[in-house]
Amino acid sequence: MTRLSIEKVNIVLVGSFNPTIFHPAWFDANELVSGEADHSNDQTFLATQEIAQFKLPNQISIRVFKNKFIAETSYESSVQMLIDLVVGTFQLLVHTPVSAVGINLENTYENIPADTWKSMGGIVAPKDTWYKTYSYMEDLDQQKQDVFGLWSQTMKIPRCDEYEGSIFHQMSVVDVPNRCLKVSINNDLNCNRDQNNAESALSIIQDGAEKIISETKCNARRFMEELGVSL
Amino acid sequence: MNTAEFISSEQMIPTGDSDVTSVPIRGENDFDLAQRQLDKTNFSEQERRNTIGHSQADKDVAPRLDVRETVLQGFRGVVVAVDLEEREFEARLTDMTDPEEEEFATFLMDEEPEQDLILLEVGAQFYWHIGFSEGKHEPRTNFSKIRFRRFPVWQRSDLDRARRRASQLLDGIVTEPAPDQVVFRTEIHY
Repeated sequence: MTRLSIEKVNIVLVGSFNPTIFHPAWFDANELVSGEADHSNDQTFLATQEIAQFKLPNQISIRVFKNKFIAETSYESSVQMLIDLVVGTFQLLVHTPVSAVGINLENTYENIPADTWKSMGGIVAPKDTWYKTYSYMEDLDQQKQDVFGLWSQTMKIPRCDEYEGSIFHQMSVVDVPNRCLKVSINNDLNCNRDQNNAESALSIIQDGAEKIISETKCNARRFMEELGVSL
Repeated sequence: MNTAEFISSEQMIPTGDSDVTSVPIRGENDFDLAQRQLDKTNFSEQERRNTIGHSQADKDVAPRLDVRETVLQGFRGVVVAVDLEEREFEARLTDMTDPEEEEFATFLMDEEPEQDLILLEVGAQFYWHIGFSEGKHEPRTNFSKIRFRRFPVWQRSDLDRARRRASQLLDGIVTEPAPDQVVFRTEIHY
């Protein structure tokens, strides 16, 4: 039976950041988290001028580059805390220039039934075009023909809500033997260009993140149903 | 905006001398991406020593996500009473899937994490999630988690934003003198 093995939610801010200020102790000092996470066993901990990467309580991980701030969780019960944390962080750092926000879902499905695995590529990318383009394929033996298939696909989809931006819906094969598929849905949201700070991003996240995440989860579920995958 | 530019959590890694931005390599975890970025950056030796876990061996033990949570029910809670003698608190709960539905429940303080108890007071807000976690190699485990929300101190910009929003709302309100000529004044205090 198909299993949704990973469901990650992340909030990404695009702008200009100073990774050196982001540290578990900073979040603790500003009372944004309940106690500083013990990072002595955190194999991913990084603190440099270019990158900050660490884990916080409530299963939230943070990565900050000079042009991106990323807060992520793969625990459903931590999603609201993730939103609160990002809002709290940029209420304190409101003068940070932020040009766009990404509110993203990344689902990994494994053990998709073999017959569905074979047919679902044809649903989103019909084979005819490819067989006509690479006309020699029909003459290949079955073993070689079995290599043919959808590897990744990204669709740009307009939004229907009040936010400016688009949805990028991506599917990609992660692991062929385990018939593992990753579906990433990125809600790219533009910030108010007149403001050179984080206020517009804060409004989007504070007022819209929860609803956007909930709708994105519905879209991911509907997409898998369209592919013929029942969970 | 082309498809290689959308706002994903994956940091794009420049490819060699080319200006072309490559798409992230499939299957790389976050650690790999940060590691590659780190390798391409000219850090001082001291900075390199300050980083933890940047060897190939560390990469092999990077944590894997193989447990997933399913939330069966979620509530937003507001503390309405705290009884320090009985070490319990009462809260008004709103079902996240049905905000019209309100319930009241009593919780034992001893079941809450100590670091959250400092936030416990009338008016404090929290999330309550009930569900289960399971993994490919992990048995199903039920959970009930209460997490108190943390709100940062109000900043001047927050107050300015609230004032602007209040003023917008106020602009939308048309006040007309009542028939008995009593005029209601609306005052907003911060």
